[in-house]
Amino acid sequence: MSATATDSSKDGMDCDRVAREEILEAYLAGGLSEEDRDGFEQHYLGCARCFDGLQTLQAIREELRRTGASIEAAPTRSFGPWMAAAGVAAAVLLALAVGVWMRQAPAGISGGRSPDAPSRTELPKEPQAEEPTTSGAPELSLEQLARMEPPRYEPLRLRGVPDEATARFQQGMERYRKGDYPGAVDDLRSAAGLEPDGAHILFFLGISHLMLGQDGAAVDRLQATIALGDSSYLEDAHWYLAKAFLRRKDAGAARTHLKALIELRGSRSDEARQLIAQLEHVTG
Amino acid sequence: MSGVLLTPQQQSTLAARIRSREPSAEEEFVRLFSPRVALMVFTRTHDPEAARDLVQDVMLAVVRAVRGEQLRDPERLVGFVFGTARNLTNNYLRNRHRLPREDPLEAALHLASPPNATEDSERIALVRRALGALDSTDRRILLLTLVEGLKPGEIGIRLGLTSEVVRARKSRALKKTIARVKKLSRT
Repeated sequence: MSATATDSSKDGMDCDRVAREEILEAYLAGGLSEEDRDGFEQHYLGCARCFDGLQTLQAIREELRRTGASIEAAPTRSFGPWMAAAGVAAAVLLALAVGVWMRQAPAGISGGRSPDAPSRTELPKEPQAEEPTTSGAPELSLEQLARMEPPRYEPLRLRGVPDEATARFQQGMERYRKGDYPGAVDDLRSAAGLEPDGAHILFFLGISHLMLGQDGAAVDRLQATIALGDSSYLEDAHWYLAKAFLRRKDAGAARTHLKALIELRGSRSDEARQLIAQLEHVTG
Repeated sequence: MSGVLLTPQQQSTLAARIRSREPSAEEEFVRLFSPRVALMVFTRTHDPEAARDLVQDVMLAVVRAVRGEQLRDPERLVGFVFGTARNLTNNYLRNRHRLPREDPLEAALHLASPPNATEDSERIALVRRALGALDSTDRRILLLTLVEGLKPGEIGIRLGLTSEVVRARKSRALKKTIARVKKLSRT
């Protein structure tokens, strides 16, 4: 028996299998067969690591149950089935457009949006895929690929009196929501001075700079967000950094961040793949 | 963190100490196994009251069996605890509507102490911080998975994501949260 991993070999249960098959989660959800449940129980009675993981998962579940209503009420980055359909429609149109474009010489068609695809004003957030510009031959360019909309922000419902950095951040984000990016930059810069490691502050400060066309400052802030490591803004920071580099016509740097985004295997991986594919066409 | 709670040799030694009625051995046994058995029986019964009583029953039954030299292979004390817990829980589930519960026979043995409330509240506080660092969509995915028991495909329909994305995000969010709890607990 290993000193660092237990093996209930009689029941085919060991730490590796627990991790590989997400046994902890299935156990708490009552989703294991009787045989596996017995095997896992016997395993964790004698395994400090798996029991610790199980206790943590149980605590996560309890905490989520306790705060469930507020999580359900909070806005998310996705907007239900219609949004998925819109994303799929946009992706299909994009694939068709690129496919046709690859087969034909550009015909100079500057067609409008497909009636099936939602317009930008209908979307509360940046579309899942970059908008296909035509139904025939898109005139893709770095400028087009650099197009972006600012990420939506919904204020959190915080309890108690916020500290000064939070108060500044909230004030800045109020301005951000109104499209007052110069004002947002002022407040968010103050907030960043008070809380230099606040990923949320640096990220939205970077976006505000980006919206003002201050690409250099935007790149600095978004890189600082990434340098903080794993945060809930990591994926978006890579995405908007790629956009910032596209604006600066630095396709190599943009590609680097898109690849980093794919590596994260998060919700923007597909978008990043599509953008890389478009970038390859544009840059040859 | 090492995986093995007790090596076979340590299980044998602990059993020998219980057999010789060493009080600290019983305390150690209860400290090690009662939280584990508590989670096991609670998961099976979904009844905290019953689980509390059953943990006590299991602890008593094992200690009595070890003292009475009914444990044939002391190196497999863990397996014996599991078997006892499973049998007593199954008996309870079969008879839950028919039998009144008996009082414990050895209340003097401070067995089956309640779970460590301090440790639990510390863990909850760490979990709260770790969850707070997650993206709101990831938190929602965890809620729908762990609390509401939805499948990735069902969650995907609700959130407008593919089931593959839901699965990947759920897995990553869980790993991230557990790793963050571990990291925070060391600081």
